[in-house]
Amino acid sequence: MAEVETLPAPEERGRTVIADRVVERIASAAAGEVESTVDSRGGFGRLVRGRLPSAEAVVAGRTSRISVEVGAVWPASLSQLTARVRDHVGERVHTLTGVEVTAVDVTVADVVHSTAPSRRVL
Amino acid sequence: MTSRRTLFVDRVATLLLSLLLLAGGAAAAYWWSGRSPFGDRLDLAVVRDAVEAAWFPWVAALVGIVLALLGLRWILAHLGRPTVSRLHLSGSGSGGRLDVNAGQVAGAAADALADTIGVRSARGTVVRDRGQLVARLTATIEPDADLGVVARQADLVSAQLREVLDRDDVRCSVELRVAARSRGLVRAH
Repeated sequence: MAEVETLPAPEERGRTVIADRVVERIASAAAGEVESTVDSRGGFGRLVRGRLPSAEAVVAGRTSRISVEVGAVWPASLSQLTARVRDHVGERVHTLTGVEVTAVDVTVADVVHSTAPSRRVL
Repeated sequence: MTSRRTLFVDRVATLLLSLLLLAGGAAAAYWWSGRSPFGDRLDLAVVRDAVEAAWFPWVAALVGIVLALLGLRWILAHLGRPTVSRLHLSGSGSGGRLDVNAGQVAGAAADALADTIGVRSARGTVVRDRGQLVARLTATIEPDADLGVVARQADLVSAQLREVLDRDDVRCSVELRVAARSRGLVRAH
């Protein structure tokens, strides 16, 4: 019977590095999950300024700071919306990566008033 | 749009200039009436001596430069861009900063106002007017628009804007302009 090898301690086996891009993608997806956020940019606007929500993150060791831009629907309360985005993004990033989020800056970059229902092709 | 301080300077300068002109006019009228103790001729010897003095050109140049700089500063004070680009939202703190693009939120309010029968178009911007944050909505209405309906919608949009921003210090100003010509409906035959 082969000898059971004892594994070295986790901190001696290697390092896990979470890239900034990973945190940014998780933060964008998490911001999009919050109610009343929309991707209002289409066509030329999306080409030039990118999609919403978008996120930038700086990861240093086990801590990170994130900036998120979202689009909102008129007339949602923006202070409540941004607070929900901040809390949800922080919670999701911490849960999925284990990185502690020290701050989440949230900017509402676009507000859309849309009463017309989106077109449906039947 | 200028700051409250600049407007105060404007008013004080206008008051002083008007008082100076009134005093000069009154003095000229008094002298012209012949009751002045100076008689018919003014003795300008003191002024001539001052102008011919060696120090006069330097002092005149210095005063001229100072006045030119003050004038430039005064003009620049009237050219400041009053538009506000970002508004902080309540809830900002150590956990993160929460803010909104002010032009976008005013634009959405204008879109909500434009979505009224009788309103042809509307645009919105947030400005700092004499220290006060003002969301200014400018709407062009049809000549035959029902003003009661438009006014009610303007009130509704103002109330919504207050709820959206959740800030007591932002006032909403709605300006209505009547279009010169009515845009008739296209009639199908």
